[in-house]
Amino acid sequence: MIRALQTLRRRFGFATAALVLLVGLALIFVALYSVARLRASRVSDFVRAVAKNPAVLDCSANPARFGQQMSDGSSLYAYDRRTGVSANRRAPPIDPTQLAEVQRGLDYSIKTNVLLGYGTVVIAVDRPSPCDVFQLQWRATSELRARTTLTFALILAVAIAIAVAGGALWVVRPLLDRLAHASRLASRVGRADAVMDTLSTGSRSVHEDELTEVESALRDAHTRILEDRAEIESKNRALAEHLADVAHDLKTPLSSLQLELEELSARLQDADLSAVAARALSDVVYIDSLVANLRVASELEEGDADRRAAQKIELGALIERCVSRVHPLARRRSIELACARPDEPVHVLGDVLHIERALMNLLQNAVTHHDAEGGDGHVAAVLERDETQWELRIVDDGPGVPPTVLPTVAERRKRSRSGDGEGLGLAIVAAVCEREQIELEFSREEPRGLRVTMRGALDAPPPSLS
Amino acid sequence: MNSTAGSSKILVVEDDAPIASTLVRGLRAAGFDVELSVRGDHAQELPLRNRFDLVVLDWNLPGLSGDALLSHWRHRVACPVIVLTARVTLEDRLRAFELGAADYVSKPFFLEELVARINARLGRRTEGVEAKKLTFANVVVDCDARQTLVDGADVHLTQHEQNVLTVLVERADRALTRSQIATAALTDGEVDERTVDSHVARLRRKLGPAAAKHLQTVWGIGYRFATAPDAKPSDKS
Repeated sequence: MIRALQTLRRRFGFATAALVLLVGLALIFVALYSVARLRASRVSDFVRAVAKNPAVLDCSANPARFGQQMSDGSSLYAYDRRTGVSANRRAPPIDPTQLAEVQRGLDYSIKTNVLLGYGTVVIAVDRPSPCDVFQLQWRATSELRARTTLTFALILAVAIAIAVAGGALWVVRPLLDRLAHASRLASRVGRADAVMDTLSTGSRSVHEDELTEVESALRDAHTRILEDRAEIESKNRALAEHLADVAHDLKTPLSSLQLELEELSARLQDADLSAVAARALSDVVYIDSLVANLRVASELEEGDADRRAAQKIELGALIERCVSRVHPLARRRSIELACARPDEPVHVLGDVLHIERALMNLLQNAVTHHDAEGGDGHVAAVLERDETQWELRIVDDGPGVPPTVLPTVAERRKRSRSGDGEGLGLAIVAAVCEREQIELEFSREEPRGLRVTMRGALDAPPPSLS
Repeated sequence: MNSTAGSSKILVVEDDAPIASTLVRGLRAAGFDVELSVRGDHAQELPLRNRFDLVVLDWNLPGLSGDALLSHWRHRVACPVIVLTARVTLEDRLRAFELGAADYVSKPFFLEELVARINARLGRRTEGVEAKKLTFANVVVDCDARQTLVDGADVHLTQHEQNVLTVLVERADRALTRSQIATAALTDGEVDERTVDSHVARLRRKLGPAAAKHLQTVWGIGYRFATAPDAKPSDKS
């Protein structure tokens, strides 16, 4: 047997007893009710009959002929109170018990059999013998019997239903409480701030049953998940720190390489060699961008950035800084890169490192994927604001993106730097925008090119970081 | 590479030999007078004893770290300090600003970017009342007097033309959208971006070909007053 049910044995016992008691009471009630109804009905009929029937009044005139046998099986006859004998030979014998009662002085006596549907009323009247006692015997009509049976059945059914429902609720209530508690525990499993409490049972003892085991298993699972999470977080932190260390360690040689290639490409007289140096320089920029993107991707995926409080950023200064970083690259590719910003500061709340990375990715993509040959390419970043919102548009007149690719252009996919797309860079832009609640839209710029639009909410204008 | 170097003296504190040597060569080529220190402890007293217009400071240094140097120089050294950092965390960046850094450049960087930032810092220190009167090519724009002279003669600009020129000159080397120019320079009834094009076209005609080169059209944005128009477009932001 299920142990959780065993814990409810006492309750089951109580409930069964209560059920029997309630049903019994219901039966008694029904019986009494029916008897009362039959009595009331027949006594009333009899009294009316005695009072109004001329035959009753005629009894004294001709007692031997007095008596009625009615079509529904009922009969009415007169008797002598003292002897209990009727002058009419067809009269059935009077019920001796009831006769004795009226002889003792009762006005009338009623006997009813509800289940079989018949009864007898003996009534004493103030008339001369042998017409001083009347006996009415009746049989309930089929309609009355049916109604009585139906009433009986209905009351019984309702009583049983109430008793069963109440009893069941009372019996399973502790089980339901514990199930609800187990459900609450299940919903808290794995949450760092969860309190895996024990259900308060008051003075009742806590049984070792299946539900206790479920709750215990949930607590164990919670503990294991927290431990696993802590371990994973620790590993991720170590990985992120490792990534940061790698990024840091790479940046010094990359700086040296970039500066030297920059100098070399400026000094080389040979156009082919200069182009080689320029390509190598682009590769250095790409590697740096890749490392930075990997780091931000790691932060976004592991939620590190969530632990960093949002900072107040002056977006105008930030976009200018990003544009100035990408300028040298643009100049080498003969692309005009410019930005415009409002005179007023554009303060926003967000993660400055992530937003900066997103802007850098958009600008670097616009520049590095531009197909300008011979110096006729353009990239423009325009930052505007109104009272509550800011909007940044980065437009270029490069090859753009086919309309079919536009809706998924920021999805992360496997792409090499020599491919036609943006790979990790735009995926990071999309992830950052989603996290920072920045609306991001890619559209075609006519007659050619790509337009990236970012929109977000302004913050109040305090001192800025950028 | 364009610079406002003149005889500006710059202290470079960088321990990585290849970076240091390239930096020194590049900054000298850009016209700066450069002194190099490869250790933090050696650089500690240099800005206190000598006059420098700007310090370029690496964050990780032997002897004494960049943040220790910044703390030491704080309130003692007046010149701006640009921090070169390979560190990527926000805390490092915030710490540099807290300790008084004027700016930072993340590694790796183009020398061009560093020069632009140095110029921005040095240029910013010399900006002042003089900026209200600007001379370029054969043109003098007196923003206060609302007068523009070409070869010494007043060219009689209309009020809106003068406004447009003043707005551009006051924001020299910044690209401005037509909407920005219209809002700042035109009266409410004429705030129309196409009207700006007409005013700029007339300005170019009235100022002559030499001065017109300073009024540059910026693709996708609008216009810019370029103080050095012969530089390639991407030299300006």
